[in-house]
Amino acid sequence: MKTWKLVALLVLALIFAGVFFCWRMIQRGFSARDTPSGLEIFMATRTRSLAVPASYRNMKNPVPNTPENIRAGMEHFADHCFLCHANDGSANTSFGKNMYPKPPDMRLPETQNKTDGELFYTIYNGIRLSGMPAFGEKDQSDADSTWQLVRFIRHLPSLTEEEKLQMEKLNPKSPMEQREEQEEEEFLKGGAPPMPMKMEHH
Amino acid sequence: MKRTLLMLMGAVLFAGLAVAHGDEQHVMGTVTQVTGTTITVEVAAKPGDAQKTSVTVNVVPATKVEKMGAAATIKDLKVGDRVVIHAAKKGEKLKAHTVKIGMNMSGMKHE
Repeated sequence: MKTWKLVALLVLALIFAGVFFCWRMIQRGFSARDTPSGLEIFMATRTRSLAVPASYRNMKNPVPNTPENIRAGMEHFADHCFLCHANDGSANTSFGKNMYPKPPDMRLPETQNKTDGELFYTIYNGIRLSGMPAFGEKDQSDADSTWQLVRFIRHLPSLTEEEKLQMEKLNPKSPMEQREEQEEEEFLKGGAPPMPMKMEHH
Repeated sequence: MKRTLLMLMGAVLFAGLAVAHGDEQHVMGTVTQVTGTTITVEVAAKPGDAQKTSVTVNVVPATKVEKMGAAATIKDLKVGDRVVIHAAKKGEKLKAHTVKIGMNMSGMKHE
């Protein structure tokens, strides 16, 4: 077969694949409730992994593995990350469950097998076309707190119930949630039950 | 019509202490029975109201139990304890994800 025929066939195949891909996207719609297909997950994770520069991938965490640093990372995580990732890293929150792509369960090897540098790079730069923003300052002036987060992510598989409770107290709350929590605390201490009211959480 | 009105009244009475939050409910009351897998709570009536309702919530291994701000277990729960349970509705059943244990009201005349 002549070269031009091969090229033409290849171009036709690419056009066909593109049309098929667009048709599938339209068929599936744009709901974030869906779970990405196996091919999508493979392509995204491989591309992402390859996109992390070696200089970052090989970085070692400069922040010592001390209880103080893990605690600082925990406080940071409870304040900034829990909404999507949940305090225990499971992503079992209303945001986490309904995102596309879903955040990973960070306790599992998928995350734990990444190098410290890969985790740092992800927090610092975010992930394009996902719900993960770039959290790091451009000048890396907050690098230490990002490395503390990496320390805490390493600690997630052994997070204790006590630590989860501590984190719940650190989670940001709306005025309604604060009032509700206060009423519950008063009730537990023997106070009167709160008056009926209509409340809706999302 | 009568049935609808009764249902509406029930919903209003129940609204204060078993508050729906999307798929989550907050059950506040006093424990009347504890088994290894369920907690039965007499849902506290609103102040000045004699009406009380009994609610049974299922406990699962993932249920977090807390007493006075510290981690606890379901074994720490006694009849007469005040509780606040955050539970998810699964069909007709409630599945607890957090149980907060408070004061024991046994022997107290008024709650």
